[in-house]
Amino acid sequence: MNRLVIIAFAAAALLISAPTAAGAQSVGSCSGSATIDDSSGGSPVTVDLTEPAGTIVIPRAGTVVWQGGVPGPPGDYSGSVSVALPAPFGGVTVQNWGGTTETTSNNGDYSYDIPSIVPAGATITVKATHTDANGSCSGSFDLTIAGSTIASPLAWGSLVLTVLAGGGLAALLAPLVKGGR
Amino acid sequence: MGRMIGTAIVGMLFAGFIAIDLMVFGVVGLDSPVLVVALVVGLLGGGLGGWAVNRRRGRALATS
Repeated sequence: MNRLVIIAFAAAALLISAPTAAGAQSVGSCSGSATIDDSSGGSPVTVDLTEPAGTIVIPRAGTVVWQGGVPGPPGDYSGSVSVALPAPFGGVTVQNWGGTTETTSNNGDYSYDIPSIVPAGATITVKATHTDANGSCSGSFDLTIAGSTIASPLAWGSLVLTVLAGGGLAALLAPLVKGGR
Repeated sequence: MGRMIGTAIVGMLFAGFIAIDLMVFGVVGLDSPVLVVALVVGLLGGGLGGWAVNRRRGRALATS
């Protein structure tokens, strides 16, 4: 589960200010954008709330420079970022915030490095909500890590365990095919 | 009964690992219900397979 948290925490940098993140779906008057610089020298990735994207491909390691804002003084505010998991697990909250402020915008940067065991290619849905005096905002987006899936030992392990379990199941059900004991 | 339970558990594991493969390789999203569905289907399918094996063995013993 910690691996998911690490991935989502990187994504949370896109959302960490008052607004929701750039992404596929957004509701509300919040605004936000972020640029992810690839630490290995790849092209930077830019996402913007006003330009909904499909699945966002992020580098395995990089720095997120983010900014966001709301139309008026927020007053009391709260929000959270979570990673969606299959039912009945719901989601894991990876970041939340709250307080009182009159500042209408925020910005910052966040560096991350996702361990190699986390496979590239897996699609992760990140959801965020924010509520203040201006109303509520919510957004979600899909992200995946750039690179080859099979470079992750988790991918190999999963395949090996699938083969082993399949072999065991075949052995247990063999009498059905052979007609023997 | 032992074979039926064992086959159900192995069937559940097999289906579960297939679902994890699909997630790891990005075929379905992490929030997809396919994992839960696969576990249930694998458990029931494995149990049914184990029951069928037991039934066939019982018939074979009765006719021998």
